[in-house]
Amino acid sequence: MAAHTHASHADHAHGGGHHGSYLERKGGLLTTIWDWATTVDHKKIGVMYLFAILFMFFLGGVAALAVRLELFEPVRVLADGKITGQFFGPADATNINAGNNIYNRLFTLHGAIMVFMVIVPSVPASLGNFFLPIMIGAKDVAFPRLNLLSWYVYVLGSIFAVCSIILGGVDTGWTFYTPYSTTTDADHIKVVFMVLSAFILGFSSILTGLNFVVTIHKLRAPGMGWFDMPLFCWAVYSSAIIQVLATPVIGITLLLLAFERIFRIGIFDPALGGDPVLYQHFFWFYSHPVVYVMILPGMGIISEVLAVHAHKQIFGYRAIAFSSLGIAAVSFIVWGHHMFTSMSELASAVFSALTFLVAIPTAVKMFNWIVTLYKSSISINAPMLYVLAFLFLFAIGGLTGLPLGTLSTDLHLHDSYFVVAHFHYVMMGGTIMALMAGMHHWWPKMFGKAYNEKAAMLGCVIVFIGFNITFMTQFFLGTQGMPRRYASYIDEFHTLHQWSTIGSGIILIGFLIHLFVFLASLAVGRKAEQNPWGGLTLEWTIPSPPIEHNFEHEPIVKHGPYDFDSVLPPTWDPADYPVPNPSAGGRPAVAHSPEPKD
Amino acid sequence: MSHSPAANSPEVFDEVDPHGQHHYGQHESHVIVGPFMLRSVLAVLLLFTVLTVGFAQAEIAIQNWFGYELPWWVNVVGAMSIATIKSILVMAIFMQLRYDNPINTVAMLFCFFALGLFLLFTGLDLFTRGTIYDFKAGQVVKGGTGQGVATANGVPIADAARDRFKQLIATPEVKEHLIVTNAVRAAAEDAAVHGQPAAAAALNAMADRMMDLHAVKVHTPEAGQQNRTAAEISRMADAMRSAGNAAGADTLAAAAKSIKGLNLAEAGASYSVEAEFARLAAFAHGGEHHHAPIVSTANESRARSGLSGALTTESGRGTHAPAAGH
Amino acid sequence: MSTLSSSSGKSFWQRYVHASHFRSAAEEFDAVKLGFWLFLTTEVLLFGGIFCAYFIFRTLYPDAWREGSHLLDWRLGGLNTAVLLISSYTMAMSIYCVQKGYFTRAKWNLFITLLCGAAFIFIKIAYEYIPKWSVGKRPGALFDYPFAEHAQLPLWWSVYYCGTSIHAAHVLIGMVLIARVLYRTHKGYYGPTHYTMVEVTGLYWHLVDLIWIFLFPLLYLIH
Repeated sequence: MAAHTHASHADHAHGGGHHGSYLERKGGLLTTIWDWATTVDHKKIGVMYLFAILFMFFLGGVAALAVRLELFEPVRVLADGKITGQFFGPADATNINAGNNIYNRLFTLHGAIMVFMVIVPSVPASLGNFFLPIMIGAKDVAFPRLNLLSWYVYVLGSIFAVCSIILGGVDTGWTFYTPYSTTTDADHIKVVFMVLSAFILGFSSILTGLNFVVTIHKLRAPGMGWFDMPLFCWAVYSSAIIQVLATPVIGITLLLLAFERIFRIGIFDPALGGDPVLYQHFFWFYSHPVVYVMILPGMGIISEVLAVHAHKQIFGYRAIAFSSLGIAAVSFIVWGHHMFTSMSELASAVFSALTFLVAIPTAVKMFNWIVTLYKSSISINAPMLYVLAFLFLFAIGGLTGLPLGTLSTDLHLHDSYFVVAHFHYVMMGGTIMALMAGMHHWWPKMFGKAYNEKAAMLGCVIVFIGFNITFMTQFFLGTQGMPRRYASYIDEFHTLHQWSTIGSGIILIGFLIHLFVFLASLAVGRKAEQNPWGGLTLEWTIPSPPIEHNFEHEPIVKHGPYDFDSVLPPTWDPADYPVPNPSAGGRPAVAHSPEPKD
Repeated sequence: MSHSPAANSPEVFDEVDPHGQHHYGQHESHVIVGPFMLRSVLAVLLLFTVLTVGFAQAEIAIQNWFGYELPWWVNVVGAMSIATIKSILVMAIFMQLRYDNPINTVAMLFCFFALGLFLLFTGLDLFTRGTIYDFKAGQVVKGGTGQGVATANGVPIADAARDRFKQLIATPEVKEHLIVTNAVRAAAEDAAVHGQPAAAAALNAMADRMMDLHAVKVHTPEAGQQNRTAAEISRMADAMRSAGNAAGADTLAAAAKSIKGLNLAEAGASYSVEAEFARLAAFAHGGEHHHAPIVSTANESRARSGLSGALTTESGRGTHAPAAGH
Repeated sequence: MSTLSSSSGKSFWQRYVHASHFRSAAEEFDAVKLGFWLFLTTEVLLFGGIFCAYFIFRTLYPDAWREGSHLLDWRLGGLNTAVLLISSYTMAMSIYCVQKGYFTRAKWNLFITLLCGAAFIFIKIAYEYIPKWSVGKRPGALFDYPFAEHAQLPLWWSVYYCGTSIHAAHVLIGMVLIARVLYRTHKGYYGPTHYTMVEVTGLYWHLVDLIWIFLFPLLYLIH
């Protein structure tokens, strides 16, 4: 790395002068709303994204609870024609399908909302938007107006989805597989609405990803080389590349699907010479890489939070950075493992072999995190608890991926609850746990308010317990043969399904606790310190909440993001610093000392 | 108005040195590509367009004149190579990738690589769909081949379209139209035999217009075609007379008279929908296959391609559909 | 940067100040170009879906594809190729002219580009879409052409219409962008030191050309 010491440039004439908090109100209520609605500040857009995503998370969560409630009892038609065990459906139902159709709509709703509107944008668009520019020492993302546009596009896409729900909902499953998606409700516009919603959300995703790639390439602060970036930036960068390269394919896929519904062009219709499995190829060429868009930024948060709360230099920085890129690269050649039961044998075998490649970079990350924890000085608090929950749950989720990637075992587990449990362990146990870790870690920075640590830890423990009760049972259900997407089941599965539903209620309690913790923090929380956790990355060198242009002067980076052994975190008193520097025999040097690092 | 970027922007961004303090590895952002270069590239691009068309035409010519069919990949590889060269030229010069930050080229290469993976692995599945491995031959029943026949309600769409058209040409109005058309064509041949090229050309052009699919199918003919056509030929005769070609005009007038005197009922007795259909198909292919070997009749070619309604399976996935072999 | 001083007598491009989060106008220009190239990759992959469908079905149904290709007129396709190539040239020329400050020439070049775009759309609709659609050369279930020799011909028309209509939509979007650039050039927004949007619009237009360079042989010539 080249020399890191040189004078900072003076701000541009019109760049200075904004030294107030970005949350400062500019006037009355209407002025404030207008200010937020037209802002190009990445922090405000990140906050708007966060709340929009949390709202959609609430909607998707309600659908999930409804699905679990329906499955609390199996649906039975009694000898007298009465239907029992149907939670949703007409009261005096004589037709079992009326209620089951509602169930189909509920799980589609849950899947589509959670995937397209929550997990894909969750970390990058909210926390990434807020912290990526700050972490690399930039004033804003490269294209601030595009950033705002992407939020509006996101809202527009969500509105389309909500319209589709209001019109009666869609029962195709979140994957819109043909021929379900081309034949159900054939004369109704709502499926087209849902498909267009996902199409529009793709644009939002592309804009965000494109913005991040350019930001990281062009706007790093002086001294911030590629390998001086926090690992969160590497993770967001990798996922942004996937977003840019994979999302357009879902665009054309959904467009063709809309044409198929409107004009019956036949590309996916075997009756017209097309091939429905071709749709699956199109769909998974996007949707498999996007699985890594969902998890990579979460992994970045884990690297960040884990190093800070363990107060230790992260082990294998470059290995973790490159494993992010590795996952991004491999993600494009493994999509076929979603289609083992519909593809040719040769293609299935090839995809099965390639799928195992994903395990390598993922395991690299996992082992590096665990080695970082080894003999470190761990602070137990809500973010760290969520990190530990992530490590535990993601390990299970990852390892159960192996039998699904193995051709011969997958043929048995395909479309069973084993798959459902697996992807909930990686998506919810991975991404959502990481999002929660990141939200707690950065909450004081984002809003300048501390939250109640004990209550947050309680919430975390409850979510963790509830999660395992809900989804561990589903592994057993799956191996015993419970297929996914059924409103009813045989009596043997009754107990496990009931436990799973109880678990989902426990998760609800946990998230309600978090909701109250966050609301209380916003309402009555004490003012947060600038650097509550002792982080070394750039966001901890600025006030909480940050000022409008992030930095008073362009920062100059002189130490790595995780040099906890040699640098004292900004604003920390050496006397309070938990880790004495073993090599120097005394306290670590003060951050931002005039000496260059290395 | 000469612009010196170095004077206006001392800091050109560099990956290793974000503030441009050392000015190493500095690249020029504001490259100006001059008109000569642009014109040369345009000339080359147009030349390659001619080349790629000529290449495809040459292949057809070889096929038609020497009866030798080149392997299928010659055409594909030739056309795609030329397209690739053209696109590289457009990207390198018009889009200035050659002078740009290399990262833009890298982005584009990644994109083409991803596209290649997409095609490769999708093809890997679709093209091996019907494969059965010998060691399993006893256990597996062959399923779909990945090849379907376009059907609607059990009838192949192409067949349905053909049947609808045959019904159309059996209707009295279209029948009259086609009988009159054939009479015009016969008159044209007659005129050619009697050494009246101008009259023959005029009648042929008229017959062409009447045989066009637009005239038959889109603007469905109305009754009274016989008289209208005769009247039009008379007008053509008058025009030719005033242009000074009296012999040609006489031929045309005779043709008009013979068409006016045509006994529709008599001609209709020998009218055959199948023969008419074949004639129209041959005409359509002759008129539209600008670079294709002329197909003798539609029925023959249908027989050649093995297509008929009986070949569709219930699932719409015809296992007897034309083989994909190259 | 002396040109950045705000004097009212100067054109917009002379007064242009780059966005404050960039360190220099050159860096902003570079960033915008990188961003736009990334956007172009998304466009290529969007058409990738069409190319994939073409590739798969061409290999599965070579005879139907050959028949379909013969039903297209290479002269119209070739003419449209030439029109687009010329428009690409005039677009590149307009960037050169703006860079040099020859604003009248720049506007003429942009105008010709716009005309070429309109000509492309006109040829496409008046000589290809309307005559073909009306005689029944239509996609999928709408197919009504009586002389099909192969049962999968409707699928060929599906791929043809999807590919060319999405491309034509891009031509229309490009024309809107060019019209905007033309207007703003007229108003003095762009000049030798600031022409980012001209350049970016040019990139978009060239991509439209690029896609057609592949669509033309695939649809009209390969048989």
